[in-house]
Amino acid sequence: MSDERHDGVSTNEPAPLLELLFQRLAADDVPARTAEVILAALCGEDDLAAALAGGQAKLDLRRTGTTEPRSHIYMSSVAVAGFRGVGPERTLALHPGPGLTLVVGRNGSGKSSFAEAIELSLTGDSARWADKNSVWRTGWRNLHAPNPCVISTELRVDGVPTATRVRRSWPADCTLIDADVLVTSAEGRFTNLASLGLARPLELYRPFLTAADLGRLIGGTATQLFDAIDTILGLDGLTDADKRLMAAARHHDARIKEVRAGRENLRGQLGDIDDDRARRAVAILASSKPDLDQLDAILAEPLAAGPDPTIALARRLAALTISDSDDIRRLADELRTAVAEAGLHDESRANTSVRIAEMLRLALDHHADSGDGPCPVCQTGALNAGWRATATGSLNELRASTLAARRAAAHLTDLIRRVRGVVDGIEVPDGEAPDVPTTDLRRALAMLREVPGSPRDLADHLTDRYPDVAKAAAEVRAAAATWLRQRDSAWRQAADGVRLWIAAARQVPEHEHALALLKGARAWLKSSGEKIRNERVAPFAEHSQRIWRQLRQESNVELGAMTLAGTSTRRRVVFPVSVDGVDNGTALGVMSQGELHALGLATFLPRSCAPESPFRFIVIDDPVQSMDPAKVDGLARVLGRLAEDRQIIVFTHDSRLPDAVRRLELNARVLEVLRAEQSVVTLRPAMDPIRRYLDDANAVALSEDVPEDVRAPVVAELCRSALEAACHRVVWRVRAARGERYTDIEAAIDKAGTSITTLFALALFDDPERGKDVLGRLANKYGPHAVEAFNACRRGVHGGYLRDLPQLVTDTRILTRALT
Amino acid sequence: MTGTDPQRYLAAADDMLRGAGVLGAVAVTDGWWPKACACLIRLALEGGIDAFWLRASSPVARCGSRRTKLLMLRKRIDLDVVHRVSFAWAALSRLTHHHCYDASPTLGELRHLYDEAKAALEHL
Repeated sequence: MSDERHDGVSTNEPAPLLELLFQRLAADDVPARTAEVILAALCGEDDLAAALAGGQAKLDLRRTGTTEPRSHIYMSSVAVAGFRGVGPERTLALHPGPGLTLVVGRNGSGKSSFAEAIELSLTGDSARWADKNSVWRTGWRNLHAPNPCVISTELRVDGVPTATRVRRSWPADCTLIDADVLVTSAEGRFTNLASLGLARPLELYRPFLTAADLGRLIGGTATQLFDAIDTILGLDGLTDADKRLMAAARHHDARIKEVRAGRENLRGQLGDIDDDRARRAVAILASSKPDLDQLDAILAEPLAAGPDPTIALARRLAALTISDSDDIRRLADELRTAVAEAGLHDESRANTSVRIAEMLRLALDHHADSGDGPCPVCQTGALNAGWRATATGSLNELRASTLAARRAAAHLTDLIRRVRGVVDGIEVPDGEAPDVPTTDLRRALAMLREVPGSPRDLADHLTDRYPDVAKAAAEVRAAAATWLRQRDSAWRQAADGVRLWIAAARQVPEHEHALALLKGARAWLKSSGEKIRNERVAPFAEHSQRIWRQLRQESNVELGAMTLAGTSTRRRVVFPVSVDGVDNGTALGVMSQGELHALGLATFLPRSCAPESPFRFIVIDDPVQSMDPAKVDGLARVLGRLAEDRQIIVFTHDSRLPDAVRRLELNARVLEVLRAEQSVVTLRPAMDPIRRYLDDANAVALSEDVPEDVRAPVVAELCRSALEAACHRVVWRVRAARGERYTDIEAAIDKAGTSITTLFALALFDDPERGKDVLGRLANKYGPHAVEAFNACRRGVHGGYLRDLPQLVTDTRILTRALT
Repeated sequence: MTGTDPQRYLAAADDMLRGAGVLGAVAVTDGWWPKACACLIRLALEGGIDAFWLRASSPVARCGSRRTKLLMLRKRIDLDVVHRVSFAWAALSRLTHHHCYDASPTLGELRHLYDEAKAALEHL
């Protein structure tokens, strides 16, 4: 930042905000990330989001402010018809250039109608107007001449030959907001001023100051004024940036709070679940920074596993498998068959068969070796071919029968082993699982295991006992499965919540990081923003103070340098006002209405006069209200000073300001507004009152259509007023030169003013008691015409003066000149 | 004091208020009507009071003080009427003198004073 910001309210473009902040950030050694966030916030929401995400911000300041028109705009006239107090069309012609114009008219003269017409025609802010009061909702059209209803304002843009005209007209029966708007200018025809880029500057600089505006200073416009000055100074970007930072911080803070609340929520939920995993999860969640990895591990546990013995038991019970009852019945039947089979083969008979078979085999061998011969066993029989055939057959038969007996025995043994295997193979795990009764099963199994000795009984035992076991086992299995299922589904539901929460919780560090960045950014922006603001606002403040110093006169209220303070919703313009040097913060409260008005002017005028404003005119409506004469003089000086390079148009309801302007010999054009019957408004240049009275008197004197006896007192009356005004001027001059207070001078004049003689005594001798010397002094010093004029005015006002009326006017004119 | 009928002053004032006739039109166009109008209404009111005293008591009629003439009315007519007459006269008197920071009286003000003067003349 160069020195240019110090050279006061300059017409230099202020350094672009982005650049200015960049340099300040570098100078303050702000951490790179924070700096980036601040600069991004200045540029926009998207940039800020990108910067917080660690991405690259575009840093592109799209400010349109610099394209606003910079040509100076003056007002050349406003024509009003059918609006408010103005009936038939009247034009307030202005000199489109620097200078002071005073428009004087009593309340109800139509003066304010012009002031309001100017503002309405330019801002078109009918909504604001319609809101004002019921008069504005219904009484904006003139009562006597409601149609046509037109306001036509003509502006002069410096260096452009074509005038810019804003014409706002209301067709019959349409409402205030339905005006037809036509803007004609060198740049073409439009339907609004925004097309010329003037809408925003009008809002920013508000070249209109109404009494209501001035009064609103204490009514909470401090924030609006802050925004206006901020924007004028090109610093509204700071406010916007802070708004963006705050919005972003709020977002991150909300996420963090959500996770924190979610943790409490989960703890409550999981606490109600009878599950080891839930219990462990609750334990982890008890920490303010829960171990997310551990939680993840719990979630990842397979449903079948888990070190919990109860669950393991339940799982084994649920998985308890025993042979099908039908299979067992078949086995028993088989056993019975095998027992029967084995019973067919008698053991002793079998041994006999084996021995006989052996004997036969040996005899056959013997026969084969020895051939036919007698039987060596019985000695009677013979071994021969016949015997041999029979013996061979017997031997084969014996062999087959032995084999079958052996096979049946082996089959039976095998079946018995299988049955034992079934009985012994049913294994019920030890221990009790909740809600899974195993007593029945265990009892049935114990009975099954009491196996009888004989194979035949075994088969019956099996068919008798096994179904009980099978039934009990099925019941245990089902109960265990149900228990497991219930437990699991509760956990599984909660687990989904836990999973979501973990995902959110994993983002928390990022949010916290962003939040810390944002906090840092806001803190820096707050302190630096305030510094930058107050540096830039200093010229404004200085102008305010300068105006106040001139306005305050005898006021004991002191105005310090105004500052722009606070951010977001608490941003406001601060006026350090002190009374008698004591700043107790209640100064505004003890100020008089007139002082508040003056303070309002001191505060708002610098804004309307900002060098950046394209508007070189300022319209001020009734600034003199409740101001004491000394302040009016101060105001006249302020306005005279501003009028050196501004077009100042002031509407005022009495002649205090024009009188002050005249007294201070300031250059000003004074117009008088009068309203006659049927809202016929006249605007005429207001001359010095003495000349005005005399000119009017002359006009009446020459009106020969009026009978002379009616005319005469009116002429005398106007001449007397001219003499009175002349006396006032003398008294003012003499006493003000002595340094007398304005209020005292006024009081003296008021007191003497009841009679023309005492007033002359005051003017001629500075002593109201010397009325008897007045005529002598007039005759001596000013001659017989003066005496004539004085007497004619004194008496003629009540009728009776019937001499040459134009002569009376001439005599009076001479006397007033001589006096002043 | 003079023979001019107060009603003629009133008529002229009315012309100015309405912008009627040559006088009214000129006065409104030139903008000098408010002060002249006030003057005429006052003359009418004073004329009415003078006429009353000429009929009622010539010593009072000859008295130079306008204030005395007004104060004396209290004994003769309804107090409410006297108050209104006094107020109208004071207002008109103020309007017809030059004052510091003076601005022309408004139409409404003058119309009201005109009506007051007219009513007073009828009473008197």
